[in-house]
Amino acid sequence: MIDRLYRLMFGVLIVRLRGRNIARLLNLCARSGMEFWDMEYLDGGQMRMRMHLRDVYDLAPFLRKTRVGFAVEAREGLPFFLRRYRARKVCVLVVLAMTFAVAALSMRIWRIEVIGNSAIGEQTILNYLDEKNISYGVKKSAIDNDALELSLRQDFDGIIWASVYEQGTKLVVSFQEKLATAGGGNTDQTCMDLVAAKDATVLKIVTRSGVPLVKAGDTVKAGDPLVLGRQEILSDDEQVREYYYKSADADVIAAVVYSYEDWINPKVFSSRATGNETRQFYVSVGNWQLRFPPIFADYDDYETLEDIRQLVLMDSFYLPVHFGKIRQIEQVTVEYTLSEDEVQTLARERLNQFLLDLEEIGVSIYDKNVMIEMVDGQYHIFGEISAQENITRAVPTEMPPQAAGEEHAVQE
Amino acid sequence: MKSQGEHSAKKKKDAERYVDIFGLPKDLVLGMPLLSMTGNRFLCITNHRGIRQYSRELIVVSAKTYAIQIVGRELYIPKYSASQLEITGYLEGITFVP
Repeated sequence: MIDRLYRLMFGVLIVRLRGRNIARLLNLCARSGMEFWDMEYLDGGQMRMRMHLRDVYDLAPFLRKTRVGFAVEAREGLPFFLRRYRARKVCVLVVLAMTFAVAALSMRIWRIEVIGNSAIGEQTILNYLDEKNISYGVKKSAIDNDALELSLRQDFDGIIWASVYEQGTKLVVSFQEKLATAGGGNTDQTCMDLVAAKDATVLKIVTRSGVPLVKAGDTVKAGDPLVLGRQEILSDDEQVREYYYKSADADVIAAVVYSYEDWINPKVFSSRATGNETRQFYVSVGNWQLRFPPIFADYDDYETLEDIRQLVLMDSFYLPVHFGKIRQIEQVTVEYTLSEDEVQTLARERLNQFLLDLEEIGVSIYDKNVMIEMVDGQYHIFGEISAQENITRAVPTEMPPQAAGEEHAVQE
Repeated sequence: MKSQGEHSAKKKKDAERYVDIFGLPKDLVLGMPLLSMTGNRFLCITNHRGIRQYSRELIVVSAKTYAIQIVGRELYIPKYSASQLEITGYLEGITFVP
């Protein structure tokens, strides 16, 4: 392969020899340092072979001596290619320039991809990288992957594992976030009591540690203690001898009532497309951009839709070139009145969304009583949602004043 | 008294004997051709003295003191230089002709 490329670089001729003394000619040429290859015997005592372009100039005396006929059948290699396209220098220069430009661009990062984030937003990570001088256009050699992985784990509490690597001209930041632990995860040594987070009626209590103060059927108000983390140890004469402290842990399921209220104005203003629109093609290279045609829509109100993509060669070779289409669609504001059916549908949708939001935070809904009425030209939707949920809230245990002879112990 | 031919033959025998004794490479010291084959499809001859005859069925290559006759079918020379000669094709026989 390398031999072939070397030969083509300096020019190769495919020649045909005819005569009786071809072998003698070949021997004379070989002894003077010439080289032949792909030698093929043809009918009629002829031979076809390849030889270096530079050897042709020394061939004449041997041809005369051996009286062998010589003809060039084809020419291969760079010297002939350059001569054939000598009037196409600009084309060759452009191709070379593009090759060098792509090679130079491949040494920088033109896209950053964040994988694995859920609680931490992508823009947060991008802003963090920007503070570390890692952004669009930075050199790959300027990025210390190991140091960046370490700093991500150190500076973000929620990240337990991080990986930073380059893929073509794309920088991939992949990390794993810590999963949320149930019960809030109180990690310090403070003893905690459980109090009611809201007014409710206790339905069920499951105590895992602590002293329960309520039972099923009790009505509690927000802030009332439910389970204490402090346990009294009594002496023989029923006096408090000492206290043992261990954080209260319990599920107190209670019936709660959520008030629901919503107002819907039947007169609605909405934007509708008129059917008029203008289109522009967009190209940008780095900070330079071009929009064609360079016209501006003279609409009072319009909506802009952009479909812009980044140029990528193969899978991961991103370039700082963006292209796409921009559409400006004329809008007109239309006022119309919702019918009663439409209002009810809208009210039902909003109520369902409210109930879904409650269910997502662990509230179990078992009854709803919602009504709709017209007040001053508007629809008033109101009612109560009966649900049951865990109403506990942890607060630090209140320490009693230390009396003479009493001992306090903290149980881990 | 020995003739010149007998004298040179004795010199050759002595040279070969010394080469064998000292374990020297014969292709370098005695100018013998070196043949390297891959099955019956490829033959490489180093230290040759040129081609005497070439056709699709017969190639005769000169060595220092004899000729090498290669017989076969569809014989083709992919490379030929002063130091090395390669032959491909379906080789059927190699004969050393004095």
